[in-house]
Amino acid sequence: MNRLDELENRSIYIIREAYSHFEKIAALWSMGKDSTVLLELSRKAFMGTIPFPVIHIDTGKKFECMYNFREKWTGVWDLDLIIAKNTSKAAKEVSQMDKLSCCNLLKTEALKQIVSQHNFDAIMLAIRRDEHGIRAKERHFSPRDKDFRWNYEDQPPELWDFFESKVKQNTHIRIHPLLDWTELDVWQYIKRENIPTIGLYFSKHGKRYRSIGCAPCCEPIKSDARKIDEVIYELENTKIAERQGRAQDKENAHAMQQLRALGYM
Amino acid sequence: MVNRPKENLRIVVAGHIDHGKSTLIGRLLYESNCLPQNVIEKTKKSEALGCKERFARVTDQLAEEQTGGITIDTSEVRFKTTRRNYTLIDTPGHKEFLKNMVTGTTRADAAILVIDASEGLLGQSYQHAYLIAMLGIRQILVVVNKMDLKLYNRLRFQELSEEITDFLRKLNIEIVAIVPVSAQHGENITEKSKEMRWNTSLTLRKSLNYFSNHKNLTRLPLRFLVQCPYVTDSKITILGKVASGKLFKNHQLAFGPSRHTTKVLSIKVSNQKRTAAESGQSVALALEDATNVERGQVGFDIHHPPLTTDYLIADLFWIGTEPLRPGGKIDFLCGTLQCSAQIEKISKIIDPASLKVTCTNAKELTDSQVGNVEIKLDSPICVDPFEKIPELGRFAIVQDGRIMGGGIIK
Repeated sequence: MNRLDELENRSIYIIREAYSHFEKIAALWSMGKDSTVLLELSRKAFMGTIPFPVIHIDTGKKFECMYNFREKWTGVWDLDLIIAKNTSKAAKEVSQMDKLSCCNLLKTEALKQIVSQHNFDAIMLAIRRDEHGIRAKERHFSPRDKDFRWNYEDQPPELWDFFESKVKQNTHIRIHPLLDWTELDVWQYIKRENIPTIGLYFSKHGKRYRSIGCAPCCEPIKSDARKIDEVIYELENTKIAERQGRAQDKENAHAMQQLRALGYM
Repeated sequence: MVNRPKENLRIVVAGHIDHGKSTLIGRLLYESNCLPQNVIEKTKKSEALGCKERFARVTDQLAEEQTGGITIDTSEVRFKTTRRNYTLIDTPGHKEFLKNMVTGTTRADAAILVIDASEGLLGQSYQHAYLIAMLGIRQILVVVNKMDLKLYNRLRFQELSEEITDFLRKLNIEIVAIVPVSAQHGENITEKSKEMRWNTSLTLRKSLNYFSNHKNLTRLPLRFLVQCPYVTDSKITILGKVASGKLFKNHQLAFGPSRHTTKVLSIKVSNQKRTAAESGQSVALALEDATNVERGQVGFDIHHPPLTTDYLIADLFWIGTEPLRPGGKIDFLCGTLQCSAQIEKISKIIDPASLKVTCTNAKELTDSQVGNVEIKLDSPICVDPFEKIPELGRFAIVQDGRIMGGGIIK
């Protein structure tokens, strides 16, 4: 098996372990490249149809084409889609100037609401270790307490393929099937498997988005990569970090750690 | 041109606290041009400020780790040479965080043991080396770091090399190289050291080529781990993983521990029909009779069965806050099976430094101790000796829903 086969097979193993261990499980889908790969792997794990709901945390500030993409593929893949939106007064009034509060209210709070509403005991996410130094310290099965806090100072051990899967009341476990993948692996897999992606990832007028989230907080990078092959070539030769265009990572040195401690993805 | 994906080797970096594991990894990535620009800039800035931990910060990204100067949890970083891709797993050397070190080690194909040239072998150097060998890693590269503190002295390196070789030889682990370096000053990391002209061995980066690729388990007897029976349109499909060996369409497959046999009608890998599947692959099987197949069972060729037993002798490491005691109830995880069991006897406790038995028939095994135990399972299960089939020869112990220990079956 080559590297992509190894990654694919292990991710499918983890997805099936999660499905076997938890009664109420869902996957997060942002329509970005990583979570779309997560859906592809989940479809493969269960013979073409995903047997659990897929949650989109909708901040209302996503790019227009992301919503179109969501509608199209929800239908084609026959997804059980749940749209999670924080409709509280605080969320409506939050200033985008305060990135930490904005992310926390529109994303983390929306996720909290949907998790408690549906009593989910496990949530699958497409985060990868190479995205951020803090995410590099994650586990494949990663517990969160009732306030969604991540106790990064005392994470459970993971031995070989044995994961801790007991959930205490009102808590949930985050499952990270793509943790070992790199950005380059994801693109090579997208090419190999012909997985649909959003057009924003490809160059228009000399710029493309490398990481996609909310429209106001993402900046495109300079790039002439118009096709997947060109994106792969660019990534093989770049020295720029993937999330350099994401505002939340720039706030301060430990913004990501602060966000994640509060329950962020 | 798009290159084909290269072989990836996973290496755990272990050693006593403050012997420079994180600094070594940071330096190696920095000199190999494998860091993103923002990290390089940050590193350069702290270099100008004379910050000693500048390279360690590449993997130690938690605020607590940066202020305390120690690694708390494992971190994985990727690094490539022209020959191969590597995942370097940084682990904490502090004995309190042994569970994180073990977590990193169980995911590795090979190990680097970092030893401080002035301090030599200390507590966790022995303990980590012992665990690395016990957990089935068969190749180790030793880095003698901080050679600058010993003024790049050749005799000191030779003396330490002999001591290390003596110890590791007893652990039945292959030493692929012993490399003198100074991670702090970048000596002998990616370029030949001018300070150590006496050194005849390769640089650290080149020495990594001595590691062989990870083992292919396809030639071993078949072990298929059942994850779950999955029902669609009233048809049962068995989802699981080929842990070792090969699985063929139209062949008979026995399921243990009951040993009922049935025919494989079809195999799907990655949702594509195949005539065979091999070790490492996640598969979906249609069987002639899937009614009695359950999670935790093991599929095998009836001519090459695993052991079916309710009594095991095993080497065990304990990372629980409460000690393990004979008679205590535990949950035993092996393959995809989870069952109740009891510790019959803690036959020996072993001191990783002297490799001597410190206690026989012990009353308890406490946090971070290693020993030899006898385990009685509530019902018979399928296992293999670790030396024969690693995937079915290793286990974890769960108490109160937490993984508290792990081990290998003798």
